[in-house]
Amino acid sequence: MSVGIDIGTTTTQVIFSRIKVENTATSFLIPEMKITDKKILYKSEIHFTPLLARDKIHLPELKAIIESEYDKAGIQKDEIVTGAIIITGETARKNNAEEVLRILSDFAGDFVVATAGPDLESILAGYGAGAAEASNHFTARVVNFDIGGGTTNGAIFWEGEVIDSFALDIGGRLIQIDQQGVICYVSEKITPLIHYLQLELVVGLKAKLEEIKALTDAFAKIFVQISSSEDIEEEAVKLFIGHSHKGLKAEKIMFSGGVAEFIYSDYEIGSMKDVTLFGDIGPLLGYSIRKIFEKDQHRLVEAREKIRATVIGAGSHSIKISGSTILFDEDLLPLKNIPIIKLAENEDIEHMFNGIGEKIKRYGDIPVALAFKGPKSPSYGQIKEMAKAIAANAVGSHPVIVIVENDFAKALGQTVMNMLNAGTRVICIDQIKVDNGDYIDIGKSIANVVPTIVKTLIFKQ
Amino acid sequence: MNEMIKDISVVDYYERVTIDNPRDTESCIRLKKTTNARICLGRAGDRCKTETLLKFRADHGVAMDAVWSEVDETIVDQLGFFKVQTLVEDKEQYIKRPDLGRVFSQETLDGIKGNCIESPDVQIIATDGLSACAINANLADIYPILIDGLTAKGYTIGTPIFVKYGRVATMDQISEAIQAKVTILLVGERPGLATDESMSSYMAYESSTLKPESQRTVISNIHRKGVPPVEAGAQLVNLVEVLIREKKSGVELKI
Repeated sequence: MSVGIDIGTTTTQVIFSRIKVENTATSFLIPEMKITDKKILYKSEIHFTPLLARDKIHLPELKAIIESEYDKAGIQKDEIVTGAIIITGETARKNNAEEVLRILSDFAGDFVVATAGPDLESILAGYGAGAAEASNHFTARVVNFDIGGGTTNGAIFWEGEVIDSFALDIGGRLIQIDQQGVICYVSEKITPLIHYLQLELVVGLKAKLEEIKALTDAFAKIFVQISSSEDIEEEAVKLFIGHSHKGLKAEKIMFSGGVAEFIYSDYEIGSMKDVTLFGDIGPLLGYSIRKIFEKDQHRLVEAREKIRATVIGAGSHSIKISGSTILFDEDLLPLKNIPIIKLAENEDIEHMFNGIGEKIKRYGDIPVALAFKGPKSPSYGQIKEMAKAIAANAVGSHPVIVIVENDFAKALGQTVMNMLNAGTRVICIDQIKVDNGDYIDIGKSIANVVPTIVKTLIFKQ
Repeated sequence: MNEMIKDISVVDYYERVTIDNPRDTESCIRLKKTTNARICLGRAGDRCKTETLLKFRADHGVAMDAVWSEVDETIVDQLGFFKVQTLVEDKEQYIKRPDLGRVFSQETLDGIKGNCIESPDVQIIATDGLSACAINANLADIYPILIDGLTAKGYTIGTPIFVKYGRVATMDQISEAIQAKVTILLVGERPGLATDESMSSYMAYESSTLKPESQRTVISNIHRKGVPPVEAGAQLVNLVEVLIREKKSGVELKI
């Protein structure tokens, strides 16, 4: 049983799903454990995130919402094995994020991700929206834009895998409008763009439809430019959070998040009254995007999940299963927040491990995981060399944690273990892809494989 | 247009699309990577292209050659294998008389008893089977990993034996002769059109001529593009542990 809790700028949601792991190989082959089924058992209502102030979450109220959803679903806290709580969008940058996680940690099982950076959020939303499957289905690069209240999270998928992820300060609630049609909030993140467009969108003024539409049209154009890999205006580039996109062209485009509900509908906007349905610019942004893609209909793919994409991604797509022939020490698990040191691939194994000791030392008392791809089918000599280098870099009482992409973790782990003093613990897993700057959680084993969650917390360059 | 191909055996056909002017080459490559089947080939009129036919013949040739190939004895010598031969006298007889490939003469059995460690926990045997190429390609990688792993677990290991012109059932006679607890036999698989380097590992607890074939636990498809030999070696160490703990193997063992 897996739980996904998504606390966003605007909404808070909970889902529960059941994940089935099965051996997919015939009995004459080495077992191959795979996630064979993900079934969503319960989707919560979509709650507004309770806020005390714009930058502070109302903790007791939030706790009450989550508690009531567990009750409604009829699920006990101890049934939860895995999952993810993620705090997303603008909320994640708020100072009380840690507090939120502390009060909610009871609700999750032994193995739950606690925080999310914008990149991880982008990836989870893309999986939840169904962009990974769509990239296989259409044999195309598929970009998913998850447009929330405060931010838009973009991820591009190819062959079912993420090839780029990024986030932008574009959202439905960056401008808020009251019942009388007066602007009551403009996020400072978009004021440079508003000036650039020479629009008069200022708190206290009566909002004009053309003015707001000029802004949402500008946002919509940015999505076209990103997906078609066209140049983006300098003012718009500033909306990227942390880092820009890689500039990959995507043949198919998908939208999720609250705003997407207005893209795939026939909601018409004729007056300010239609705009201010939720007191923000979300409906109009959706409308602008729908209009701009009207000529390009064939590129637009409907997301499987829209407003719930991130929470579903968090609840059922955050887990990856390791290869089946691995080496681990059950007593050591679960391991949480292990930083990754990724080695550059090199034919010369000695060269590959050069200077690794220094890097490990920088983490001081924190155990780290060494990660690399490794040869497809290493020779015994190569295994020995890799093991020697790994053993030489083992630090005192820390467990040795190694993550490789190709299928040889058992051979490597066993060889490393033979080289170390008895008592040094070794975890060596394969078929997991990680990058520098990622963190990994490794859960307790299920049928000789371990579930892992790779967390991309830091802004990538 | 396709460029000229000089040596058909060095081209990676997992990625080569020979359709003329494909609409989406990337998709073809993606499909090809998912299967060993010969797809995305294109055609000449209503027949396959010359290149396709040549590749098919080349692969078939590799498979045929593999059956007639010999194990490079320097490999087994370097690893310290004790060499024996079944009742088969040459390759042709090996193909024609499967029964002779399963048994040894009394002298050979006496030789095994006289020269090899008695009653080991684990006895390792390698034999050419239907593809000596598989042994040539994998033995040097799987054997040392296996030895390292078994030694670390504290098992006693018998003198490794190489059987020339052998079939799977030779492991029963050898096991009976030296009273091994677990016997592992590494054998070249019948070569197909995909590879001639695929090796299987059969293992049995108290392997015996009196027991049915179902006594054996097997891992197949051990080669560079299948289960890497080093990883198979590490997995075998685990299986040895299971067999010794459960005191059974094959279908009796539910794993």
